[in-house]
Amino acid sequence: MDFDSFLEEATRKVKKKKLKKRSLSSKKRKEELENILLDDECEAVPQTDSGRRVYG
Amino acid sequence: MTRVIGVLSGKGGVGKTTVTANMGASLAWDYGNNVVAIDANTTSSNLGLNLGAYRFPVTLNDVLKGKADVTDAIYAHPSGLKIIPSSTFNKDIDADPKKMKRVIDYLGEYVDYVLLDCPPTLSDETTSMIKAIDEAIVVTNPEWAALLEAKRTISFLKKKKKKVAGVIINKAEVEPEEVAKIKEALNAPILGVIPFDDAVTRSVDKKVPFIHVFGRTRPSRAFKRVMEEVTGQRFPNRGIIERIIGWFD
Repeated sequence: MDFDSFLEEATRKVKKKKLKKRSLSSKKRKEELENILLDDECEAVPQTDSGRRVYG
Repeated sequence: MTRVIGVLSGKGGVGKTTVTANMGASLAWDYGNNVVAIDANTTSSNLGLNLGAYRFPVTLNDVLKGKADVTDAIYAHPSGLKIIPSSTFNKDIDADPKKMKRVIDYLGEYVDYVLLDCPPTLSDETTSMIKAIDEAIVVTNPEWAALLEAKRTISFLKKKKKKVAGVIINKAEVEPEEVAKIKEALNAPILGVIPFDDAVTRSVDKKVPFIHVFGRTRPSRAFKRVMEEVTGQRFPNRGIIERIIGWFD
């Protein structure tokens, strides 16, 4: 990717995720955080070809 | 027990983000730890870019502004590292860094390491981040301006009673005598010297930490030794040949 394309891509408006108002109990919040941090239940960073070769 | 480490420098452009990205990915991928790397530079962020992404729908800025929960701003890197990125847009710069401590306390329960890629200078934003950390790694280059700022940062950390885990001399070709002089001047342990090499620049283009995509190059060999200093453990799968080559680096 050349610099102009990168700049265009990087400065394009990001569609903000619509977040639901949540009133989770602290137990539920803890469970959610545990799932994310220990079991990868969160959005993944996109893999590049080099990344795929390194990490599979 | 969770280690909350701030990566600081004083002067900008010395390689804090590259160090954070490589250290985070290595702690996760090579050492098998649960690690969260936070782009604590909420006004000029680029940790995400080093790790392959720069367009995030929810960021640390949203969390610090009270618009999102921290669980919404965590992303998984293929190395196993979790990232909390900051926004790259000017409209998000009014985030309140004073809330950082709360974010870290919340994460700390589940992870082995929290790494903060801190902003340069000793601004309000940086000092808020320093309040949130337990220990610091200071990155510098072997140039007077960078060394002076590193010295100021170390003095500030000590005044705030924060542990200085050590200094990384980055983008450097220095003789052992010069390293000894820098150690004496900064009054802090030296974790390692990372040589200047275009493998580091190319790894940023490839959006993969150099320690993994160019694992046999000089900077990677040097960084593996830094990892051994930081963790107090031998770098996993570092073969005997690589160790012998390392003696001559």
